[in-house]
Amino acid sequence: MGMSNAEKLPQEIIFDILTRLPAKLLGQFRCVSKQWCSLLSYPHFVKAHLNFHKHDQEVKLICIPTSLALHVNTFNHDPQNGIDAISRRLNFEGLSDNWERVVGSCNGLVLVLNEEDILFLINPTTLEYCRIPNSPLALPKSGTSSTYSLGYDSASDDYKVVTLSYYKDDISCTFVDVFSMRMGLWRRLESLCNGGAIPIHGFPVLVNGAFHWLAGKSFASAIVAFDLSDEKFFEVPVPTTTDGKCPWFYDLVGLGGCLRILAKKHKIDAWIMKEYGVAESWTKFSVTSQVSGFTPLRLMNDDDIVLDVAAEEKLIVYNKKEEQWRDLNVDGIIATFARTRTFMETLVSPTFGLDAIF
Amino acid sequence: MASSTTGEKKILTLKGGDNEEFILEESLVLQSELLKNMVKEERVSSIPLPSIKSKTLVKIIEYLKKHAELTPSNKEEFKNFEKEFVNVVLEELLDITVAVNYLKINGLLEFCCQAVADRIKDKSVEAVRKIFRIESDFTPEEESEFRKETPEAFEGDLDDTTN
Repeated sequence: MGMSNAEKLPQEIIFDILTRLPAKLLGQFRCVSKQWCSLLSYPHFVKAHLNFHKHDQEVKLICIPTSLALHVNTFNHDPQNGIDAISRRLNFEGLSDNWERVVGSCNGLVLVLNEEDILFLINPTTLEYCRIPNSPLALPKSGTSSTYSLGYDSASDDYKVVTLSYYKDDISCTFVDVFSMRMGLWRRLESLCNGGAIPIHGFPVLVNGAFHWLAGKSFASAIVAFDLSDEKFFEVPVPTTTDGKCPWFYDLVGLGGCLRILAKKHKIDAWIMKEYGVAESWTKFSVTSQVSGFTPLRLMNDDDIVLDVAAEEKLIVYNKKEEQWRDLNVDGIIATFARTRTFMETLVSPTFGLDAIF
Repeated sequence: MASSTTGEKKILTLKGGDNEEFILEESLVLQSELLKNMVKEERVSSIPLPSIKSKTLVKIIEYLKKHAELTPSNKEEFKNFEKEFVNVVLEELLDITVAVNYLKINGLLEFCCQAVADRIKDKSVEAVRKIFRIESDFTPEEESEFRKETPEAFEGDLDDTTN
């Protein structure tokens, strides 16, 4: 047997080994010792852990079923007895379950809105949370429309909440407000006014450090993007059909780090932008379906995709190879889920930068 | 020990912790950043490695040989070798990892760290403490608080040796 070298295991090796473990497990390993506990919450470690797992395909679903509580659905790797996912209710100490909407997620943080119109940034894995102060710049509630989104600016290492809002009788002028988690401040950017494309699709897609909205522009679809670092809007080319026409798209999604855009005729055509920003890299595939208005959420494996059918408040699994549909089975019950988003498990703290302010 | 050459190949001696000597081609050890610097800058022909057990050194030399023979056509075979390489008791795997870190063999280090991570994935907090020789420095009150809050952390595999 002999003496083990384990006690001489250098700190940098322990650091390396731990970055490879899932966030949920590391939450448990905080009780190994005080030293491990502080190592696991060092910003440097949290970032290394995030970078290591950035390309993991292992995403989870977060949703608000009819109980108005937040639930996390974890997929079974090897679905047995027909159960695809296990649902777990999240309990945040000191917060009541009156959730209205899951707005978006980024690096394991999830932005949620409650029925009192208050935004919270939560980490469903560590169960930490932080309230986002109400914006003094917000438009009055009646007669206006607003959408929120959450993103990460790698240049300034900051999480940002971006709102787009407009008066319903003047849709041509959109106000753009940004909340910086690092500074704890709301700012108004130059308004996005007519002349350019205006986002018409509420949920932006976060790919490549920028938000992407499906937008309307002179009777054609366009993709408008907002760079989270330089806070400027720009356009991404949309796919065209073989006859050079631009189809009318109804949804834009991000899946596996790629933009996907959807159009519907008698069947659904989906394009994937394989190389970001390169118009020629749009690759088409078709889905035959009677269901309309679905949003791909997650790839289960090479052939199965989990789709969110918003109108019917349910999740379905589509098998590309056999062209077959079935309802997603969560905990043995056919799921009826509204307002579903995806997220990944990380240790990133939502109170990031705000400790000193609140 | 004087440096000797057979043909074009330079020969080097590594001395393990229990004074056992290993004679190998110098080109093999160049995969280790530490040894490469010693050989290049100081032109030594014998390197004592007292902190590394001979048993561990044998394993590492075996890896260096296999890795040096790696070509696109035997990739699969090498992958199988790697799998077998880390298929040892956890204590031995940790010894290898520490030695590889000291010798700075980068690709192998990553592979070893991943292997350790895979092995402790299902372990309970108690087992992890034993594996890494960590004494809990929490008060009994804090400890029982943890057990109440995250009982699952203490329910994992208690075995701290073989798997």
